[in-house]
Amino acid sequence: MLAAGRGVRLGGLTDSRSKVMLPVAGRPIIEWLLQEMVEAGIERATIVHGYAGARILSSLGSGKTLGIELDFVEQSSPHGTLGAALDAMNSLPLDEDVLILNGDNIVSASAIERLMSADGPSLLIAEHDNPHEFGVVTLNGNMIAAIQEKPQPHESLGRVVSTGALRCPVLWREVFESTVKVGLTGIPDAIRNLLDDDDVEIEAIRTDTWVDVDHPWDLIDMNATLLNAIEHHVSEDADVHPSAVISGIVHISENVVIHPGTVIDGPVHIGPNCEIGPMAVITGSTTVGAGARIGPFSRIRSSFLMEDVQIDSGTWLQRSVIGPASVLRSHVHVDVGETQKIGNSGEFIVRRLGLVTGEACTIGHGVVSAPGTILGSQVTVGRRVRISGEHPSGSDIQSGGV
Amino acid sequence: MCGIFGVVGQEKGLVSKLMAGLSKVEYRGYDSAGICISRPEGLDLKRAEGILDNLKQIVGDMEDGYCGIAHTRWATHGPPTEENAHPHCDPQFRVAVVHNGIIENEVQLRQILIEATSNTCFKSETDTELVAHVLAQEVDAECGDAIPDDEQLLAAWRRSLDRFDGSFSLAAVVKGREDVILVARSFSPLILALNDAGYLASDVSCLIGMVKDVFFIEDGDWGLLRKDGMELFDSEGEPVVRESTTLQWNEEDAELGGWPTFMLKEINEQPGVFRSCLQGRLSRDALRGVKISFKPDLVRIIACGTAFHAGLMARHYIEELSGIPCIVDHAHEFRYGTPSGPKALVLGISQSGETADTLAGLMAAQERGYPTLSIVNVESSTIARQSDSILTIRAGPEIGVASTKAFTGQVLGGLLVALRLGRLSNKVRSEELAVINNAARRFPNAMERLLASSQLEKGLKRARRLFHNQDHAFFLGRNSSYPIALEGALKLKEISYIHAEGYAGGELKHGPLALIVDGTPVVVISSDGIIQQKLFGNAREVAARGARVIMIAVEGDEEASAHADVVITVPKTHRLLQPIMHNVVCQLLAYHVAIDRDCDVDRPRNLAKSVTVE
Repeated sequence: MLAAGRGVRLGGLTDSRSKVMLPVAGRPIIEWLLQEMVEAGIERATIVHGYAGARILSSLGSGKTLGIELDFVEQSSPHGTLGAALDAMNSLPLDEDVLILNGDNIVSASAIERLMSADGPSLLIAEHDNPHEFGVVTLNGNMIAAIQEKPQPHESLGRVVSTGALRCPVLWREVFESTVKVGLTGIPDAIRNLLDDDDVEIEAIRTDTWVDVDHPWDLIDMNATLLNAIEHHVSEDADVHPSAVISGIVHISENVVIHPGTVIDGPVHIGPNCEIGPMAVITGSTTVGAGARIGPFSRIRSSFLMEDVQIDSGTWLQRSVIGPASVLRSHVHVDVGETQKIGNSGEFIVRRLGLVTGEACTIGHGVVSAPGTILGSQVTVGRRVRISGEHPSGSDIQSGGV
Repeated sequence: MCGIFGVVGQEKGLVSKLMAGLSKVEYRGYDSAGICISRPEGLDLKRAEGILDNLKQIVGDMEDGYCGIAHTRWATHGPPTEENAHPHCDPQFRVAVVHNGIIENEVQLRQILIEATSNTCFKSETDTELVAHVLAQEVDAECGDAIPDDEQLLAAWRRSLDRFDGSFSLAAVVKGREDVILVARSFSPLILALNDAGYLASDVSCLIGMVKDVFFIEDGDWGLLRKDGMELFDSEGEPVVRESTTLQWNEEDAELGGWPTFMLKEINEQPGVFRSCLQGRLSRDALRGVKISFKPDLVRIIACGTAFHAGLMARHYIEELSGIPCIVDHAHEFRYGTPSGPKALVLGISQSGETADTLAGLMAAQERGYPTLSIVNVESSTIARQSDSILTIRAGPEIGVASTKAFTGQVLGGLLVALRLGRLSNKVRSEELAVINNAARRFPNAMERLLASSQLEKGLKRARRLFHNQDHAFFLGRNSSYPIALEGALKLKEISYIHAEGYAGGELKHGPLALIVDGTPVVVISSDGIIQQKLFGNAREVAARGARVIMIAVEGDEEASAHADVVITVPKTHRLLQPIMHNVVCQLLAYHVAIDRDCDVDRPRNLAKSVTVE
C-alpha cells in the first residue's frame, strides 16, 4: 500500500498529515481501503509511508483491530510511486505475486478479489469524467494495449483510466528499478516499458466503485460516497436532547452532546466529543470531525468538517471542507455555486463548491465567502470581509471585497 | 519495578505464554529474567542475566507444562547476575518463588535461618531466596515429604507470610501441586485474572489481550490461584472475595506496531492524549468530572520524577488561577516529614498509580486527616483506589521507561484541578474558561503540525550535533518554563546518560555558570513577555562563555535567533498551554541525542518503570 505522498494538491489540508490520513466519513481514507482489503480476504499488507508517516503509525498500530497484519516501510527515496513500491517489494519472495494499491483511493472488496483471482498480471481500470488527471488506458479486448500518464488537455483518448491498483509478479521489480534509473517515477511508466519492450500481457479488470481524491473538492464527493456505507448508531455515552430531531442514517459517537431543537438529517457522521446546537441544522452527507463545536442556529450541509472545528452561531455552510482546528465565527455565510478550477494537466474542471480551509484558520464574524474560495492553513479573515479565490497559508485578510 | 507473571492451568504453549507475558512487563526491570515450570517430577528452572532476549535464547527447547511463574528483575539485593535472578528455590527444589518488593527483615531472617539449620546455604544475595527457604520449611513442618493438600499449603503459606516485613508481592509454586500458585500481596501491586487459565501479574499491561477482566487484590490479601478460581484471605485470615474490573486498554495500545521504540510512539501519541484527557471535562464554559468538594487553604502536591515536574507546573496553574498557595514536595520527602498546617488538599501524581513513595505519602496524609486527590494514568491502580478522589489522564499504557505522554496528561490534569480550584474561589470566570477551552481545542492540531514540521526535523538535526562528545548539558527556563527545563534535563540524563541539569535562569549566576565551558550545550526554553527578555539575557551570558545555545521559541519570535546557535520554533498557543508544546521538543531532542549515542531508549540502564520500592 503506497501511502508516502503528501497530497500537495490538497493544500493546507495536508499540513500535518498525508492524504491517506484524512478522516473522511469518520475514519482515515486508508482505513476504509484496509476494510475492503480485509473483506477481500487479505491477511497481510506492507504500508510504505513517507510524509508525516508518524500519523500513520499512530493510527493503524499493528492492524489487529482492523483484522489485518501490517508491516511498515519508510520510503527510502523520492522516486514517486515506483520507488515506494520497490521499497515494499524488496523484502518479498521473487516467485510470488504482489498487489499494489494506492492508500489514498478506495477500491471495493470485489474489485480486489477479481485482481487476486485473475490468471496473471492485471490492472484495475475505471471510467472517469476527468481522464486527463490519470493514466489513460487503451484496451485490446480484455488486455491493456497502452497507457498514457496525464495526457495534455487537447489529447482525446477516451475515458478509461488506470486506478493504479496493480497485481503483478514480484519479479517485475527489476523493470521498476530500470524505469527509476532512467528518471521515471510512476507505476504507469513501468507498465508502459513492460508493454513496449517485453512481451507482457496485462489483463484489464473493470470497476465502477472507485473513489479517488486529488483536489479538495474530491473530498466532498468521497465523503458523500463513504457516508452511504455507515450504519445508524447513537452511542450510549452521547447526550441527545429529547427535542432534537435525528432522522436518516446518523452515526453519533461517544461523548457527543446534542442540544435542544437541533436537527440532524443523515447520512451524517458525528465524531466523538462534539457539542452541537441548540437549534443547529446538519443535513445530508456531512461529516463532523471529533471534538467539533457547532453553535446555535448554524446550518451545515454536504460538508466535511475535520477535527476540533469551531463554528459559532448562525453560520451557513454548504459543500465545504473545513480543516482541523479552524474557527468560523458567527454569521459566516458561505455561498455555493459552480466553480471553475484548473486540473493537473491544465484542463478545466467545473464543480459545485463552497469554502475550503486548511488547518487552524480563523474566519471572522459575518464573513461572506464566494463559491470556490480556497484558503491555506492558519489564514485569518477579519470581521465582515468578503473573500473569494485562493489564498496561501498564513494570509491575513483584513479588508473586504477581494 | 520487577515484573511478575504466572499462569496455572495452561493446557499447551505455557512457555511461549510466559515469555509473552514477561515481554510486556520487561519495562519494569531488565537486569535479569527467569521462569520456573512446575511439573509432577519437579521444578524446571531457567534464568538468564540481562535483558529478556537472553532468556529467550535458552527456553527454546524447554518442555511445556501446566503451571509456571516468571520474573523480570530490577536489582535491589545483589548484582544483576544469573544466581540472583528469580525465581528462587529452596535447597531441595521443593518451592520456587518470584517477588517484587523488599523484605525488610532480611538480615534477621537470614540469621535465624542460618542458626536453625547448620547446613543452610544460600545461592544468591537476594531477600527472595529467604522466602523460598521459609516456605519450604513451613511446608515440611506441615506434611513432611508428602505432597501438601490445600489446607496444609495455606497453613504453611500463612505462617511464612507472618515472618516477612516490608513491601512485597509474591507468587510461589510447590512441587507436586501444579494445580495452584500461591499468591500474596503486601503493598506492592499484584493482579489476578481468570480466563482459559488462571493468571497473575504485577501489571495490567501483560494481561491485555489474554483476559478481559482482572481482580485487583487488596493490600494484605493472600491465598491460592487455580485454573478456574481463587481462594483469598485478608491479613486477619478471613476469607474474602474481590470484585473484578474490566480492562480499559486493548492489546494494540501496548504494542509497538510500526514504531522503532515505545518512547517515540508515545511522544507521537501526545496530541491524542491531550484530546482524550480533556474529553467531556472542559466544554464551552463548564468544567466536569474534577471533584473537589471544598475550597482548601493550601494545596500540597506530592510526586516523584517526571510527575514531580508535572506537579511544579500544577503549582503555577493553581497559584495563578485560584490564588491558593501550593507546596510541591517529592513524595519520599513529604512522607517522612511532618506535614501540618491549615485545611489542605493533598494532590498525588503518579503515572502507574503504584509509585511506592507517592502511595505512602498519600496514606500518611490521610492518616493526618487530609483529603487526597490523585492524578493517575492507571485507573484501577492502588493509588487510584486509595485516594479520596481521582482524575485519570487517559493516556493509555505508557511502556517507555522515560515518561513522555503521561507528563502531558499530568500537566493537563494539574490545569483542570487549578481551574476547579479557581472556580471554587471565584477567580476563574466563565469567559476565561471559554477562552482556555477554545485554545485547548486548537492545541492538539498545533502539536500535530509541530510533529510533522520539517522545521522541527531540521532544527533537531542541527541541535543534536551540538551534543556530540559532550558530557554535560544545561536546560534553562523561568517561571512556567522552569519545570520544562527540569523535565528536559531529566529526559536527557535518563536515556542518553549525558549529565544534564535544569535551572531557573535567575539561578545561573549563583553557581551553575561556573560549569559552562567552550562547547557546553545549553537549551533555553523560552517564555513570554518580560521573562523572555531575561532569558535572552541568560542566553547571552552562557554564549559569552562558549556555550552553544539551543533556543526553543514560539513561531514568529524574531528575536530568538539573535541569541542562539539553533532555534527550534513551536506553534504559538495559549500562555498556560505553551510549556506543554515546548516540552515536546525537549523530549525529541533527548530521544535523538540518545539514539546518536546508541543508547537503548526503552531500556535505560539502572532504571525501570513504576517505582514500587522506596
